[in-house]
Amino acid sequence: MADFFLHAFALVSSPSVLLLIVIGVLFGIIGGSVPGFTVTMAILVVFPFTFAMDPVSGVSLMVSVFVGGYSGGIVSGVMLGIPGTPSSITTVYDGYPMALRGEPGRALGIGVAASFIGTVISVAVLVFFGPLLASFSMNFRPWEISALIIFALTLVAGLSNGALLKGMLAAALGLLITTVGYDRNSNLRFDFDLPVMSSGFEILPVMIGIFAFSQLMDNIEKLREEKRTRSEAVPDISIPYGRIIRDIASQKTNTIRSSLIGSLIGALPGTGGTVANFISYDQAKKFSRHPERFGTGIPDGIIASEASNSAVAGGAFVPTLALGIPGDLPMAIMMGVLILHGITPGPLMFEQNPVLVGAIYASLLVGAVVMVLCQLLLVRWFARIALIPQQILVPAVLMLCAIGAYALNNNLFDIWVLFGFGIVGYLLWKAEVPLTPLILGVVLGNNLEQQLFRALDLDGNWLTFLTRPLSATFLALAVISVIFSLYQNRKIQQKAALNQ
Amino acid sequence: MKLNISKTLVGCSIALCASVLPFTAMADDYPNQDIRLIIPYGAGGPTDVIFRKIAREAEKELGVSIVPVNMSGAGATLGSRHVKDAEPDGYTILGGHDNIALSKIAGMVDYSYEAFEPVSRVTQTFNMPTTYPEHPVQDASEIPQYIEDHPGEVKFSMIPTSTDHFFWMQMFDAMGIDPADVKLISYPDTTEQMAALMAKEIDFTITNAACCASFYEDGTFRPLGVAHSERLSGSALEDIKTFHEMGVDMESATSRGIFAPKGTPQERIDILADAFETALENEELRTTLINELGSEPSFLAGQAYQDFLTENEANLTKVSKNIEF
Repeated sequence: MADFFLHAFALVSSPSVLLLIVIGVLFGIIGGSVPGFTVTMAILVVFPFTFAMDPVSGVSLMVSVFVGGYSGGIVSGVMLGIPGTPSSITTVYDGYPMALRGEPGRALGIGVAASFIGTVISVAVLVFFGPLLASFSMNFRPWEISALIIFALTLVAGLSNGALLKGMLAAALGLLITTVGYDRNSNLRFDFDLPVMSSGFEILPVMIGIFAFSQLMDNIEKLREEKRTRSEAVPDISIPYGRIIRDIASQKTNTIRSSLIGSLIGALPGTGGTVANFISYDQAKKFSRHPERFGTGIPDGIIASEASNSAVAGGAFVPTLALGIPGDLPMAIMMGVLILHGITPGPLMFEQNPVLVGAIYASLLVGAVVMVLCQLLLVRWFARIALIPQQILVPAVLMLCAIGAYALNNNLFDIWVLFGFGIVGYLLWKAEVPLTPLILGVVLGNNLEQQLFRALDLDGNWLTFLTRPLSATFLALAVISVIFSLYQNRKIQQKAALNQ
Repeated sequence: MKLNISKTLVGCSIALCASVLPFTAMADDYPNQDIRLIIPYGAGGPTDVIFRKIAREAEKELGVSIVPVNMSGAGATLGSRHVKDAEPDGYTILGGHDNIALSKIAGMVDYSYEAFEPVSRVTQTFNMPTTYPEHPVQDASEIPQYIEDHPGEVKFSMIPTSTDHFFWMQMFDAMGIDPADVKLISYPDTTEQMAALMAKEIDFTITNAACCASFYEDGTFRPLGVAHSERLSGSALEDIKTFHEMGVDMESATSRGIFAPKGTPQERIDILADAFETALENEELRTTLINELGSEPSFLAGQAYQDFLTENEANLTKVSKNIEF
């Protein structure tokens, strides 16, 4: 074990591979930080370059893009209030308010540190519990995954702070959006006789539209008033290292819990970073002594969000490496790279290619260190995008969003989806409808439909959902989660009434 | 990289000058700019990997780059539609397979192979019914008896309207199984079917050497036969009986090939076909395709490929009579 690990470390720390890791991390950070460019996109762009490389170099490059990508969402989330990727939506909740309050450096620093810890813990989970966790993840069959998704959707009730009904409606609207296009038996639904509608709406342009485009329209609206206050709005983006260490130290339990949630959810097939993100944010809020302060710009929220989404990077390797079954799209591409180099992931990989498995672990760790260095050295420069006048920033970001949406499938229709949902998002936002449940509905809708109907195909009895222990547990958690958030909302309201 | 950019620039300027000249004067120059190879599936999947590998060899013959472009969505019809409607100048081509005919048969689109100029078949990947090692069925010929012993309980996994779906229907037909006696469970892709088989959620799934050779080797899965007339090569594969040996008269493969938009000049089609033929003669590529990607290089062009496609569509249409869409 230690032997091949050391050998792998030696391979990974050769100058040429190190250089690739630095490039990969930087590219990942940029991919994750530009709204709309997501980790998946960054992976897709890098993928063809690995063709000409030896396996260790190719794998290290891909792994480092992951590590960078999952930490990259911090910058645009904190500085612009726009999540760079779906898995950094909850980073915005506390990161953006903290930056607005004049502490952007602290918000970025906490995010980077939490990302680093999340990655390291997830690598530990991967190394020590990989095969064990993989066999456990095989217990997650259609019943369990449906129940888990329902649980994740009920969490939005707790996150919509009082607007329970609107949150539920938004989630339902999100689910409805995913019914456009071919269903699982290739029947066409809601296409309005337009061939472009037949593939449904891509999640990414919908998300960018709803979050980024609506936010940008709001920025345009505020342009006039902002001109007057502009001169004094130069934020201080130096990083207060001591403060950050204290922030993290005071959140040890939260950091470790969020990293473990990220690793676990990452290891489950059919879920991914977004679900991990929401569950760990929600858990941090529920275990907190001051849940009402979540969303106002406290370190707890940023840590919960960034530790968990970075931990997904390590967790997602578990089923891919140990079973040969990729859990999500980036992992499917990763597996393609391995196959291309003549290595088939699966139980045999540990015996036949121990060094390559070691190289994956090693480059995850080296990538994490490189990520922290790059982020801390460069984040101040990345963050300066927020200083660019809105008149320039708004159209530039919008254009990048559109390119990102287009590049995913090389499909022009996706740009129209972006604009269409941008307008929808803006109107909903004006009507004070929470947008996150909508996105969560869009992200999870297709999977829920697939898993639910598959469960019923396999066994027509609805009671199976209650007789299988894991799915029953998730459904119980879903019910508890709704009751708990109702109770918590009432408590917050009472506190508010007392203060008046 | 630098070389490529300058090559592209030169190519573009030539194309720009030439666009004012009569079209025929151009024929000899083809190809003088990068060729876009549209792959209607996501990056990293078997179709993507196979076409990328072959394209890297073929571009050496053509002297220009073949740029693979992934355009997935709507059951691979997003990419095929894009090529169908593209300029028929030989600079946009499709890397497709049987799915082109299947999409039409399933009623997803109203065009099939006839909407394209077929360039060449490149590979065939033969299908195998597969189960988990503890399953009582030892080879495919035992399936009918097993279904009789367990009426209405035997679960077959499939990807709706894909080759998998048609494979079962063809096999049921060849073995005299009534589809009403079994359960067909749908999954979105191969990896999910593999996970379901590992969890013993289903009895049988379709695999091929491309996805699963190492799983046969370590005993995670047991192949029940290969739907081909002769045995496959490779240590994990040569022991697998063919359907013909079991007395089942049936063959089934995913046949991947290159397609150009209708109206592409014949001399350009020929240039492309020659390049792919030469590419497939490369020993290293052949070894990779067979050993690592589980696919047999099987070049076919011109009238022979046209005939193959016509027969392929007719077979699939015949099978589809038993499928409800």
